[in-house]
Amino acid sequence: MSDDIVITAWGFADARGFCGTRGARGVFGQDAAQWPEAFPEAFPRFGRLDPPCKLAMVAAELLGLKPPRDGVHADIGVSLGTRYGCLDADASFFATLWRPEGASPALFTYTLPSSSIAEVAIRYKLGGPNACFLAGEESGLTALWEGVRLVESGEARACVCLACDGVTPGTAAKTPGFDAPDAWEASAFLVEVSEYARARDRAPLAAVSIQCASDTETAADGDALSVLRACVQGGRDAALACPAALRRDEVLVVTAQR
Amino acid sequence: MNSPPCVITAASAVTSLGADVEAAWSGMMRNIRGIRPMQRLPRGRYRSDVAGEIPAELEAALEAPPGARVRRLALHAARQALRQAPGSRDRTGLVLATTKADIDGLGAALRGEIAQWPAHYDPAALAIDLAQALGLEGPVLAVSNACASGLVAVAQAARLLRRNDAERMLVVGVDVLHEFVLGGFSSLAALSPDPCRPFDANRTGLSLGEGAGAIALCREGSLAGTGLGVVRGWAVTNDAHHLTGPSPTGEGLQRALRGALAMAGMAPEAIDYINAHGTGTAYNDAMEMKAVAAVFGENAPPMTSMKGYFGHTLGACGVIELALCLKAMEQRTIPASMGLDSLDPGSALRIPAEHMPVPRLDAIISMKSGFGGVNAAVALTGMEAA
Amino acid sequence: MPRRHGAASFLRKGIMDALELEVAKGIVEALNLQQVAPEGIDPTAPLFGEGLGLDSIDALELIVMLHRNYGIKIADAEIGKAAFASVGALAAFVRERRVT
Repeated sequence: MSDDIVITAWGFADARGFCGTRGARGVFGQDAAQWPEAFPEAFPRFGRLDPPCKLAMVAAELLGLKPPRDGVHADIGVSLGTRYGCLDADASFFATLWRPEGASPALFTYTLPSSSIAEVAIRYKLGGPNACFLAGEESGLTALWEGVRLVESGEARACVCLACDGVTPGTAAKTPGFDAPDAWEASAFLVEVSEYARARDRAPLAAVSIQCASDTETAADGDALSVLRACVQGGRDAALACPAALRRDEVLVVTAQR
Repeated sequence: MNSPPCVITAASAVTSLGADVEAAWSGMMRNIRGIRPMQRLPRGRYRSDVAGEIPAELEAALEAPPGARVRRLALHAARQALRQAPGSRDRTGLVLATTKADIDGLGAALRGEIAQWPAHYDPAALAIDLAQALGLEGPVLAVSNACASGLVAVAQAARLLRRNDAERMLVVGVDVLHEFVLGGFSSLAALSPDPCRPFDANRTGLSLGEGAGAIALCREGSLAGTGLGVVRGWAVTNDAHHLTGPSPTGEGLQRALRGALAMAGMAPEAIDYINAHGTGTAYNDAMEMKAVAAVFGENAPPMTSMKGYFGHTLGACGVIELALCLKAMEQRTIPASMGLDSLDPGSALRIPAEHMPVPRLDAIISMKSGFGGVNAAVALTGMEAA
Repeated sequence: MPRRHGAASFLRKGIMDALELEVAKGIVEALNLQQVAPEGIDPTAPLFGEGLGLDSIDALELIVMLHRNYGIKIADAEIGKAAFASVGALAAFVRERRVT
């Protein structure tokens, strides 16, 4: 059916490196100096991004999106989920507040959890609906869920569903009292209406649809997004339970294309 | 693409002008500006010494137990709204809009003043806590999209209602002022040393504010009782241009305005009043004027900014100002764009500097833009409009 | 020398003096520019718009850098713009206005 919603690309980045529809590289650690290697052309402004944005950009680069020649992709949205948001930027900026030379404007601009949306939108000219969700450990799943719903509703024809968290031991050093876990990863999925994908020569990796949960469905265990990555890479099916906070007895059924 | 309309059954707001919508509106009609010399924030250290702070006596009288300021303001606004529109709480959900949540807690923790990390620094935790405190058992979400957070939250609530995930949604927008925010906007040279003058030819930047607003939305036809207005359409877009500067042509905002109108099935001519974002910065206001001229043309309806009264309330502004739009509809009065002395020469837009009683105020479009190029627009009408 | 650059307009065309090099290093450091070697920047090339493609946030950050490194306080961001036209212009501005 032309209304089918499909996933046509994926990307993932963490301390081990990055991988996705458009390639893979290994052993990057958390040293941000290495990450610009993820981009085909030089990216001198990469250094300005805060940790979550860097990760999000790498994951998104692997989706293979290109900006249009003119204008923006008005029909491609961004749905971001982040658990720790701009914690690192908040701590970094706060430390500059009382410097004799004044606070850092560049750091301040990243003290919003939604910064990654802006950076990804600017790079690939994504002009559609966008929202940043914070939902604890289900932030990424919530962003995926709402991204699928967005495309289903027709408000967008495609949506980049992003999850990113950039918290390092460096963050822990700046945030006394916070049990800063080592959360250093980003995940991206390109969700689109199948007709839209077909028109752009993007082959579906899996079809997704939100359905009522039933006794015969087996909700997947473990981290929902890593299960989804396994589906789009390995051709297996899954059913991801709705984020708990949405209080719905529904699942996202993933049917891998074989 | 159509969407079943959502009825607004309650609206509340707490700002530097007072504890509820009535107090804010009354202050606005008496030309009172809540942007005053800072009391809580430090004066003489940054590029402005004025802000729309919630006065201490108002703070003490808030309808909320002791605790973080952000939580108290949010609970106060939410409880007012829920009182206006009683309904079953098991099918009522919550969307929270905030940019910095418990920034007071963050500041205290980073300064080593408290040993325990502030739980409500995380908007998700704050949202769940608020839902629990209010007895809401429906879906809970926290959104954060810079200064457009409030309207993005309204759109998100409407989406949840559209797909029948809830019967009623409470949208709460809240942000509190802190030196973190003051210092940040000062470092961007975005602050006006004097109370802001949105759309004025000699405007010099924004004035910060704080507060909370709450709107209750329900599916049309699902609840008996009177409504305050109807959300007919919305759109959220991105300029995809620059991290803090809006697109010079206002291209993204144009698409948001057109998208909201299209979803509402309304032509630009049907709009009686445009509630602008109108922060008072050179770039934002210029962009909005361009976008409105492009979408609405020569006969654009009157447009005003409310920020001259109580400042830029950040993540809360979309909800607070929507609540006041509903009051404007009820009173059939377009509030003056406070702070306006003279428009840019060459601007043909109608931006009234005096309050404007009108025979008809049944269709409003509210728009907000934020850092990161986000734009949001919501089209609403009165109850009678078909 | 910088490698793999798209816009080559800021590659070295003139020779920098010591202060220009110091200022170039200050720019690269303050703005976290990656894959840009300070000695490779043409001191006459524009910093904003084209060339290095800096923007308004960078300008504000450079104002902070000038205060930190040279004790120069720029109250009006507009004065900063003329001084920021190029590395050479900025070095000349520093030479004239430095306190430390």
